[in-house]
Amino acid sequence: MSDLKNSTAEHPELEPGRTTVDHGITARIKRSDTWRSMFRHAQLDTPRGRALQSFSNFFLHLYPVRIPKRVLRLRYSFRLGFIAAVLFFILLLTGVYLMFVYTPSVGSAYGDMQRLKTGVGFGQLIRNVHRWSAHLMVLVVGLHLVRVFYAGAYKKPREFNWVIGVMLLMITLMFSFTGYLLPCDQLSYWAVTVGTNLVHYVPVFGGKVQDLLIGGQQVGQSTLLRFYALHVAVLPGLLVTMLAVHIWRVRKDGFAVERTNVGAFAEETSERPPAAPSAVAMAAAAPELYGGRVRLLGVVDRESVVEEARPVDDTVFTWPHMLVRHVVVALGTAAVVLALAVTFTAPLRGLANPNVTPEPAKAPWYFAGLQELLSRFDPLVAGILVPTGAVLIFVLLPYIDRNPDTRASHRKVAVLVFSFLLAAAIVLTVIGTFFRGPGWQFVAPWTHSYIEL
Amino acid sequence: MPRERPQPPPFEPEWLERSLDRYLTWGLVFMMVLLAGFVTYRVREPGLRRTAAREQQASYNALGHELFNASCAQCHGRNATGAGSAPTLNSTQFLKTTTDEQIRVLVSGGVSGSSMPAWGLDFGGTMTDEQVRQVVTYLRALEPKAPSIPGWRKGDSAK
Repeated sequence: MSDLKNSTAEHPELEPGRTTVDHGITARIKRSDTWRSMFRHAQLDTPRGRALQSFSNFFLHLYPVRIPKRVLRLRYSFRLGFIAAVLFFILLLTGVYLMFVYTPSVGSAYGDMQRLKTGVGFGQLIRNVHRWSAHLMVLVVGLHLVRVFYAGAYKKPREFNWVIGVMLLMITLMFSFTGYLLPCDQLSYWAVTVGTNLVHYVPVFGGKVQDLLIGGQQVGQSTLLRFYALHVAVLPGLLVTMLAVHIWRVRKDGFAVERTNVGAFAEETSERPPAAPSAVAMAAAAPELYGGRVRLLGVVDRESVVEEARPVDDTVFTWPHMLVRHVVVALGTAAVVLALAVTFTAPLRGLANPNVTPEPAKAPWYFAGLQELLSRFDPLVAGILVPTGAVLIFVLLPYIDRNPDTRASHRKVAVLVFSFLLAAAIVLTVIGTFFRGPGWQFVAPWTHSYIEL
Repeated sequence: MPRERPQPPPFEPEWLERSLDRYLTWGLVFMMVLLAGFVTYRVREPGLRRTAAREQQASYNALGHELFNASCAQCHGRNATGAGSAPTLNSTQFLKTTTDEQIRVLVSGGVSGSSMPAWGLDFGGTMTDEQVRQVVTYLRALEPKAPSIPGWRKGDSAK
């Protein structure tokens, strides 16, 4: 007989909380060799049972058996990293569905988009989900970065994971940008033309890089094929690999940032077992107990003489607490995306036409800040120095900011500088997205909206 | 009747269990939203598709008309009414006997042994597959009002 079979089911004494062995058909199935070859752990709701279930399951093995209690709180991380991963998964699924009907050819790509609308079951819905998930993913990944900064979660030992995270943001942006061209409508053609023109400002080899990127003098068939290959093969491979490393590091680094008690959550401190009242206090409170006298041993604290520095166990079982939360957050993400997709149709403008420039020709919203900057400063400064500098600062941040403290009051300079840059980026993006009309003139969004998504 | 199972003693604080229940309730709500979303879309889909198809038909028709007058009218006459050098396409005789697929093949591949060139990009022409489809859509839209022209092969016009 296999070892698996005689674990807990046949040895109820191993599980003190369990008194009887179940009979009946389900119990017999669950004890069968076939069942146990797939589900190796008995389903026991005891501390040991939960631990067993966690580490004998491939998928649950992604998580540690126990995690710090504070991670359960939504406020701890807002689950932004997890939501981003869920969005990526949704994009992967819907992307495969779209690949079934799409041909990366200038002649037929636009027609395929129309076919999704007129003749493919759930076609338009899947495209809407893909579109809105993509925009949301850029947003959520950005917010994740902001959250991690303010939590100080990039500090030792997580420096390198921050670097990987910044790269993941870059890959997400490239994903979104390459995907933008694929429908081959006016919106995508001009957004990509505006976007790739930025590369042109790179000194010395800007022109060469632009040629390489779009494969010719202007956006056309070779650009489409290049962007398609990047979008469906190169970038997914890169992102999956980096994401695996990213999540693995999160797990290895302990799933949560160490916090001193000053910054601890209220719940954590209130749940700490109250300190044993000292004999002096007890004697004072109840004089009749000891006749108001304090005995010698009573003065000594009740702890052992050699005190062990043992941290309070503030962990809870990942299964079910974290796992259920993650599943529910995933469902919530899917629900939001689906609601968006049912309500709003992904835009499809007219067929891409190099001879008719729409007014205004806007880059996607996450590059609108850059476009706004470009309209005000020298292209070399606004198009190259600022973005390259920003990326470099982001990547090197954990190596520049070596202050180990994670409390905001102890890292004022870092928080102030970051907040200022963040505010500037948001203001530029909002102006570029909402307040710009034909000829990049100032337009109030309530008179006429030129938002392109 | 479900048998009362002996339960292991609780080993986790009550607030934790309660918060888990709250999450499970939310999970149910989200599942309902997902279900409602799919059902809503499925119900609306046929109507949406019809509207989209109509719009596409109209735009293809207009684009095809333009293309026809720019590329085909020289031999087939303006608005396909015949010019004496090639068959009159705006005729019941042609449209009733030819399927969309046949027209598509004729336009993109040309007719060997005649002066009809190949228009499809794949055959050395200038039209993309979409454009050929637009021309086909335009010609097909003529069918309901097409006159009977016995001499359509010689490019006769309607009397």
